[in-house]
Amino acid sequence: MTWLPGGGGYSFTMSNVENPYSVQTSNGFSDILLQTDIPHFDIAEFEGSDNKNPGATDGITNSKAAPLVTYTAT
Amino acid sequence: MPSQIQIDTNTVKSKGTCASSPCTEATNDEQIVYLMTAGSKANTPIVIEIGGVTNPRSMSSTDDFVVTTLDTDGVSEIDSGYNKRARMTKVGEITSVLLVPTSDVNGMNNDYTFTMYSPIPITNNDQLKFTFPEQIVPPKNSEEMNCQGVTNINNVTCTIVGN
Repeated sequence: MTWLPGGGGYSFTMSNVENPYSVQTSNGFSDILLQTDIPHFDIAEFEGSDNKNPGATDGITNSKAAPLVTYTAT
Repeated sequence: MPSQIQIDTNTVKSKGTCASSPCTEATNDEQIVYLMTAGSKANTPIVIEIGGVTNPRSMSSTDDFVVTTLDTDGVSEIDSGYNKRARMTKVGEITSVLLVPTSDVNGMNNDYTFTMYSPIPITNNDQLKFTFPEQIVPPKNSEEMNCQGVTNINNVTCTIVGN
Protein backbone atom coordinates (compact mmCIF):
# COMPACT_ATOMS: atom_id res chain seq x y z
CA MET A 1 0.00 0.00 0.00
CA THR A 2 1.00 3.60 -0.47
CA TRP A 3 -0.25 5.40 2.61
CA LEU A 4 -0.61 9.10 3.05
CA PRO A 5 0.17 10.08 6.64
CA GLY A 6 -2.86 11.60 8.24
CA GLY A 7 -4.13 12.23 11.70
CA GLY A 8 -7.47 10.63 11.00
CA GLY A 9 -8.45 7.27 9.65
CA TYR A 10 -7.40 5.34 6.62
CA SER A 11 -9.95 3.73 4.33
CA PHE A 12 -10.16 1.83 1.09
CA THR A 13 -12.77 -0.12 -0.85
CA MET A 14 -12.60 -3.70 -2.08
CA SER A 15 -14.87 -4.79 -4.90
CA ASN A 16 -16.35 -8.19 -5.76
CA VAL A 17 -17.06 -9.22 -2.18
CA GLU A 18 -20.06 -11.50 -1.76
CA ASN A 19 -22.37 -10.83 1.20
CA PRO A 20 -23.31 -13.70 3.53
CA TYR A 21 -26.06 -15.90 2.13
CA SER A 22 -27.80 -16.01 5.48
CA VAL A 23 -29.46 -13.01 7.10
CA GLN A 24 -27.84 -14.02 10.39
CA THR A 25 -24.85 -11.97 11.52
CA SER A 26 -21.61 -13.35 10.14
CA ASN A 27 -18.41 -13.82 12.09
CA GLY A 28 -16.09 -10.83 12.03
CA PHE A 29 -13.02 -10.20 9.91
CA SER A 30 -10.19 -11.45 12.12
CA ASP A 31 -6.41 -11.53 12.57
CA ILE A 32 -6.16 -7.86 11.64
CA LEU A 33 -2.52 -6.79 11.65
CA LEU A 34 -0.46 -3.94 10.33
CA GLN A 35 2.91 -5.19 9.19
CA THR A 36 6.07 -3.53 7.96
CA ASP A 37 7.59 -4.47 4.65
CA ILE A 38 9.94 -6.64 6.70
CA PRO A 39 8.20 -10.04 6.60
CA HIS A 40 6.52 -11.20 9.80
CA PHE A 41 7.10 -8.02 11.78
CA ASP A 42 3.88 -6.50 13.09
CA ILE A 43 3.64 -2.84 13.98
CA ALA A 44 0.01 -2.67 15.11
CA GLU A 45 -2.94 -4.94 15.67
CA PHE A 46 -6.67 -4.74 16.30
CA GLU A 47 -7.77 -5.98 19.71
CA GLY A 48 -11.33 -6.52 18.55
CA SER A 49 -14.71 -5.47 19.79
CA ASP A 50 -16.36 -8.88 19.86
CA ASN A 51 -15.51 -10.86 22.99
CA LYS A 52 -16.43 -14.09 21.27
CA ASN A 53 -13.70 -13.67 18.72
CA PRO A 54 -10.77 -11.50 19.88
CA GLY A 55 -9.07 -9.60 17.10
CA ALA A 56 -12.18 -9.58 14.94
CA THR A 57 -14.51 -6.85 13.75
CA ASP A 58 -18.21 -7.00 14.32
CA GLY A 59 -19.91 -9.27 11.82
CA ILE A 60 -21.92 -8.22 8.79
CA THR A 61 -25.70 -8.43 9.04
CA ASN A 62 -27.84 -8.32 5.94
CA SER A 63 -30.88 -6.17 6.52
CA LYS A 64 -32.62 -7.17 3.31
CA ALA A 65 -33.37 -10.64 2.05
CA ALA A 66 -32.70 -11.04 -1.65
CA PRO A 67 -36.03 -10.19 -3.35
CA LEU A 68 -37.60 -12.66 -5.77
CA VAL A 69 -38.30 -10.66 -8.90
CA THR A 70 -41.13 -12.87 -10.14
CA TYR A 71 -42.96 -15.80 -8.66
CA THR A 72 -45.44 -17.86 -10.61
CA ALA A 73 -47.48 -20.79 -9.25
CA THR A 74 -49.09 -23.08 -11.75
CA MET B 1 21.87 5.98 18.61
CA PRO B 2 20.85 2.95 16.53
CA SER B 3 19.49 3.81 13.09
CA GLN B 4 16.07 2.33 13.96
CA ILE B 5 15.47 4.98 16.64
CA GLN B 6 14.65 8.49 15.52
CA ILE B 7 15.60 11.62 17.43
CA ASP B 8 13.60 14.80 17.16
CA THR B 9 16.32 17.40 17.42
CA ASN B 10 13.78 20.00 18.48
CA THR B 11 12.57 18.17 21.55
CA VAL B 12 15.70 16.69 23.08
CA LYS B 13 15.67 17.57 26.75
CA SER B 14 18.21 17.24 29.51
CA LYS B 15 16.95 16.30 32.93
CA GLY B 16 18.25 13.98 35.61
CA THR B 17 21.85 14.96 36.33
CA CYS B 18 21.61 17.81 33.84
CA ALA B 19 18.87 19.42 35.94
CA SER B 20 21.21 19.97 38.88
CA SER B 21 24.44 20.38 36.93
CA PRO B 22 23.37 21.88 33.61
CA CYS B 23 24.68 20.22 30.45
CA THR B 24 25.22 21.83 27.10
CA GLU B 25 23.97 19.60 24.31
CA ALA B 26 24.57 19.27 20.61
CA THR B 27 22.40 16.97 18.56
CA ASN B 28 22.17 15.57 15.07
CA ASP B 29 20.09 12.75 13.66
CA GLU B 30 22.38 10.06 15.06
CA GLN B 31 24.21 11.45 18.05
CA ILE B 32 23.55 13.44 21.18
CA VAL B 33 26.61 15.07 22.77
CA TYR B 34 26.41 16.32 26.35
CA LEU B 35 29.03 18.70 27.70
CA MET B 36 29.04 18.30 31.48
CA THR B 37 29.44 21.77 32.91
CA ALA B 38 30.11 20.46 36.40
CA GLY B 39 32.11 17.43 37.46
CA SER B 40 30.76 14.53 39.48
CA LYS B 41 32.34 12.23 42.01
CA ALA B 42 33.39 8.71 41.10
CA ASN B 43 30.72 6.02 41.35
CA THR B 44 27.98 8.62 41.26
CA PRO B 45 25.23 7.71 38.81
CA ILE B 46 24.90 10.08 35.88
CA VAL B 47 21.30 10.24 34.75
CA ILE B 48 20.36 11.97 31.50
CA GLU B 49 16.81 12.10 30.20
CA ILE B 50 16.28 12.30 26.45
CA GLY B 51 12.92 13.33 25.03
CA GLY B 52 11.53 13.30 21.53
CA VAL B 53 12.64 9.76 20.77
CA THR B 54 10.55 7.65 18.40
CA ASN B 55 10.59 3.91 19.05
CA PRO B 56 11.60 1.49 16.29
CA ARG B 57 8.72 0.51 14.00
CA SER B 58 9.35 -3.19 13.94
CA MET B 59 9.65 -5.69 16.79
CA SER B 60 13.17 -6.71 15.76
CA SER B 61 16.19 -5.69 17.82
CA THR B 62 17.83 -2.38 17.04
CA ASP B 63 21.50 -1.92 16.35
CA ASP B 64 23.67 -0.99 19.33
CA PHE B 65 23.46 2.07 21.51
CA VAL B 66 27.05 3.24 21.95
CA VAL B 67 28.14 5.53 24.77
CA THR B 68 31.48 7.29 24.50
CA THR B 69 33.08 9.51 27.15
CA LEU B 70 35.68 12.05 26.16
CA ASP B 71 38.23 14.05 28.13
CA THR B 72 38.01 17.80 28.52
CA ASP B 73 39.77 18.33 25.20
CA GLY B 74 36.75 16.77 23.47
CA VAL B 75 38.99 14.40 21.54
CA SER B 76 40.75 12.03 23.90
CA GLU B 77 38.58 9.00 24.46
CA ILE B 78 38.17 7.81 28.04
CA ASP B 79 35.88 4.92 27.32
CA SER B 80 33.49 3.62 24.67
CA GLY B 81 31.04 0.79 24.91
CA TYR B 82 27.71 -0.13 26.43
CA ASN B 83 26.55 -1.68 23.14
CA LYS B 84 23.04 -2.51 24.30
CA ARG B 85 20.11 -3.00 21.97
CA ALA B 86 16.44 -2.16 22.35
CA ARG B 87 13.57 -4.39 21.36
CA MET B 88 9.89 -3.49 21.47
CA THR B 89 7.57 -5.94 23.21
CA LYS B 90 4.14 -4.54 22.44
CA VAL B 91 2.60 -3.60 19.11
CA GLY B 92 0.36 -0.56 18.74
CA GLU B 93 -3.35 -1.10 19.08
CA ILE B 94 -5.56 -0.26 16.13
CA THR B 95 -8.48 1.38 17.87
CA SER B 96 -11.20 0.48 15.43
CA VAL B 97 -11.84 -1.26 12.15
CA LEU B 98 -15.14 -0.56 10.44
CA LEU B 99 -16.48 -2.44 7.43
CA VAL B 100 -19.41 -1.14 5.42
CA PRO B 101 -20.86 -3.00 2.42
CA THR B 102 -22.59 -1.01 -0.31
CA SER B 103 -25.48 -3.49 -0.30
CA ASP B 104 -27.36 -5.02 2.61
CA VAL B 105 -28.87 -7.77 0.47
CA ASN B 106 -27.73 -11.28 1.32
CA GLY B 107 -25.62 -13.06 -1.27
CA MET B 108 -25.10 -9.82 -3.20
CA ASN B 109 -21.76 -9.19 -4.89
CA ASN B 110 -20.76 -5.64 -3.90
CA ASP B 111 -18.04 -3.32 -2.61
CA TYR B 112 -16.80 -3.24 0.99
CA THR B 113 -15.25 -0.12 2.51
CA PHE B 114 -12.66 -0.72 5.23
CA THR B 115 -11.87 2.10 7.64
CA MET B 116 -9.27 1.83 10.38
CA TYR B 117 -7.46 4.06 12.85
CA SER B 118 -3.79 3.40 13.55
CA PRO B 119 -2.05 4.68 16.71
CA ILE B 120 1.28 4.97 14.91
CA PRO B 121 2.25 6.56 11.61
CA ILE B 122 2.09 4.13 8.73
CA THR B 123 4.33 4.49 5.73
CA ASN B 124 4.69 3.31 2.17
CA ASN B 125 4.83 -0.46 1.71
CA ASP B 126 3.31 -1.25 5.09
CA GLN B 127 0.80 -4.07 4.83
CA LEU B 128 -2.65 -4.62 6.34
CA LYS B 129 -3.47 -8.29 6.76
CA PHE B 130 -6.83 -9.79 7.74
CA THR B 131 -8.85 -12.96 7.41
CA PHE B 132 -12.33 -13.13 5.88
CA PRO B 133 -15.07 -14.83 7.92
CA GLU B 134 -16.29 -18.05 6.38
CA GLN B 135 -19.73 -16.60 5.60
CA ILE B 136 -18.36 -13.87 3.33
CA VAL B 137 -16.86 -14.82 -0.02
CA PRO B 138 -13.87 -12.76 -1.17
CA PRO B 139 -13.07 -12.30 -4.85
CA LYS B 140 -12.01 -15.59 -6.43
CA ASN B 141 -8.46 -14.41 -7.09
CA SER B 142 -6.28 -11.33 -6.86
CA GLU B 143 -6.98 -10.41 -10.49
CA GLU B 144 -10.73 -10.07 -9.84
CA MET B 145 -10.18 -7.97 -6.73
CA ASN B 146 -10.13 -4.22 -7.23
CA CYS B 147 -9.08 -2.09 -4.27
CA GLN B 148 -9.07 1.69 -4.24
CA GLY B 149 -7.95 4.16 -1.61
CA VAL B 150 -10.59 6.46 -0.17
CA THR B 151 -8.99 8.36 2.71
CA ASN B 152 -5.27 8.90 3.30
CA ILE B 153 -4.33 6.03 1.01
CA ASN B 154 -2.95 6.90 -2.38
CA ASN B 155 -2.34 3.54 -3.98
CA VAL B 156 -3.42 0.20 -2.65
CA THR B 157 -2.77 -3.30 -3.92
CA CYS B 158 -4.82 -6.18 -2.53
CA THR B 159 -3.66 -9.76 -2.70
CA ILE B 160 -5.35 -13.00 -1.68
CA VAL B 161 -3.02 -15.31 0.20
CA GLY B 162 -3.66 -18.97 0.92
CA ASN B 163 -6.84 -19.21 -1.13
